[in-house]
Amino acid sequence: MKVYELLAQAFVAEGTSDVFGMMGDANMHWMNALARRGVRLYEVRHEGSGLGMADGWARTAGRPGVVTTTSGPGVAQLATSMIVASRARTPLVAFCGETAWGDQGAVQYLDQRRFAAAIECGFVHVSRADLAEEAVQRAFYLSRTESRPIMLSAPIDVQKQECEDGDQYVPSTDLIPRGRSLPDPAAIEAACDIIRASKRVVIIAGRGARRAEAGEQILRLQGRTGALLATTLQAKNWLCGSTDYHVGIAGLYGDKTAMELLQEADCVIAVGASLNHYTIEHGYLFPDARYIQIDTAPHIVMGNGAVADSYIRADAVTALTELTRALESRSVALEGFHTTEVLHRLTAPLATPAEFHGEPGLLDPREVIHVLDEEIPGEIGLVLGSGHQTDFGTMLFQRSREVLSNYGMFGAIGQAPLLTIGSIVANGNRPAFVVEGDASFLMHLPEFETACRYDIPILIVVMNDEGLGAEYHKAGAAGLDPELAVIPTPELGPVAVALGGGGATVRTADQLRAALAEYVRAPRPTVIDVRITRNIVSIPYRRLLHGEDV
Amino acid sequence: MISIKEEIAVPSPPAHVWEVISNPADVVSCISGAELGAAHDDGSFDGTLVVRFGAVRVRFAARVILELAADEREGRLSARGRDGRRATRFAADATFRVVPGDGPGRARVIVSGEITITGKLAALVESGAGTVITRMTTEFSDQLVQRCAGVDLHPARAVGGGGQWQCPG
Ligand SMILES: Cc1ncc(C[n+]2csc(CCOP(=O)(O)OP(=O)(O)O)c2C)c(N)n1
Repeated sequence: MKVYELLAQAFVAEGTSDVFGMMGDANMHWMNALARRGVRLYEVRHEGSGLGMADGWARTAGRPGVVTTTSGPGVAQLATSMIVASRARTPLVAFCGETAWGDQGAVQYLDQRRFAAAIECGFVHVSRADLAEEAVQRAFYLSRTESRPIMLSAPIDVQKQECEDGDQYVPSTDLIPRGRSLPDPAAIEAACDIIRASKRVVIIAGRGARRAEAGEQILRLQGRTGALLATTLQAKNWLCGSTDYHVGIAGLYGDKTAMELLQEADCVIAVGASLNHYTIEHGYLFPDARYIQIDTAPHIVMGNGAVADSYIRADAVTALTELTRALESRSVALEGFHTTEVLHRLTAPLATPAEFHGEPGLLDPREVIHVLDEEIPGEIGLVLGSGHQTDFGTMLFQRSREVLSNYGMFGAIGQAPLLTIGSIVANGNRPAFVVEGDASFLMHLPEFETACRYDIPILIVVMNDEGLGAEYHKAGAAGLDPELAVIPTPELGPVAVALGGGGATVRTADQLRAALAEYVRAPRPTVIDVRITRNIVSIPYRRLLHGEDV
Repeated sequence: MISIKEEIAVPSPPAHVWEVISNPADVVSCISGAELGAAHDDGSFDGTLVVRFGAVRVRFAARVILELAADEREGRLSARGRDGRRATRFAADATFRVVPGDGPGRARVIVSGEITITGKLAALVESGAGTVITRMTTEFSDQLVQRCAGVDLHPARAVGGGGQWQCPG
């Protein structure tokens, strides 16, 4: 057997079912070996895009995504997407070919170890045939346990060596204990004391809580403590259909009512949320609160530079069950925020149709979000894109659905459609849509063709302001020339059709509804180019650039 | 660093305007969200200021020094402070001068100064904080005019401004 076969076999044993990437001399043998073993290969148009897809795949599947490149130039293409995946703490293995071991004069030679370090991923080298399986196991082990991307770099000469048939491969999952971690009774006690002494409790549910499926337990604790429920951006809209006292996102993307209510809190209970500086605005969002934090991490320093008053290191379901039980046994029950006055404040609509101000042939971006939320059923997941436009969706989407946001993960534009493609593949080809800016979408336009080739039912809604909206608005605020950020785009509907998918360019709400109906009826790769006005500035921009209290 | 350069036209005589502007209690009452604290032996005093950056309120505590040259009707104010979480510091230095206005019984107040914000809120300085300070300056001007005219001012309240995030994108 050849080493590349042994490597492929080990990947299959690790559960690899889908691989994104591009072939070259240094990975094609391995890819062929994977294909023979039934692994689905997705040939992409740029390795960085492939990594973005593997990232989206992993974020949805909750296990390591796999991308592959050839040596040198293939690896170099990974830079931006790799840093994004690293900042997002995505478990991922990049199988990268390498020029022959030691041949630094080779055309495609690159010091891949140093490059990996610079782009913030771990590195495992396949330096000997007899250590090949161990290298795969280690790459997956590190990616799972440290929840980060790992580059597995394999010189082509080593890959082509003969080796013993491998039949003893132990997948990395066998090395990772699966037991639940139970909460320390002293920490539960301390948390009870804090809650007992509090009047206005806020629960912040994060990605970890959603992943642990702790919804029911959160709602019980919320009922007991009269808490407002907020989420992090990563858990946007989670449980919003299950409680009237849901305030949406905590942080810059919160609406004004949410911001005002949250600042009244005297106790914050975080569940599977790191409470980074985005969520608690460096602590300024909760000036008077004490913190209880439930998480599986060994320790967390919150976004205010401090640690929680009671840190409960445990699995979310177990910790919440224990905490609620302890409160019940001590007869601690609060009315808290659960008053008719608060309810009244929370039911006021965020943006009413009367406030929509488009221009002739250009829609108000807020109206676009409103129509999308109405027309696209909740089973269809959402990915939030980048640029200025993303603020509208981030704040205004209301319907309960799976939402994935890439905000704060290195701030690179253009990743969202890639994440969406990967996420759809991980979800068994279940349709999903992404709302993206025109510049961001065009950055990786060729991958729409990839989506068409593999029949991936992605809907890309392009919020097209014909420009770099973010820079347009920032330039205006900084006294620079906004016109430099205006970039015309061709009609993207016909472009999408030419690439093999569905497409429409829309200029009115009715045209948008019609295009959406067509997608919803029979989801297939589709681009809807929605022409929007540049006159509407998002609430976060109004707060940040103009200091407005909105 | 944010620079302030303001000329405030006040329809009151210079001597009266000087009286108001050289009295810390009066000045503070012209700044919404500001409160005067204890006075110290060295002539400095404590002050607090609640500023609204976006929808978030931040309370700053500062040590303020006011030096007055009554003959020239000129004052120098410097303040050093930080917020309750010690995540943000600010330093403000300003000079102000009261001069005759364009007509009898009228004055002009010429204010120039610099404010430096460092720490977690500093990201705002790109433009949000500047806007907040401009707004505060305008409000101060209005309040000063009213106070000099003898109008009783409303109790302190917070004024507006942005968060401390980077603009998305
Ligand atoms: C890779 C990368 N290049 C450049 C930028 C700077 N940048 C931030 S937002 C933005 C504009 C994006 O425009 P578009 O996708 O059309 O969205 P809009 O802001 O117009 O809503 C740019 C160029 C970036 N963040 N990442």
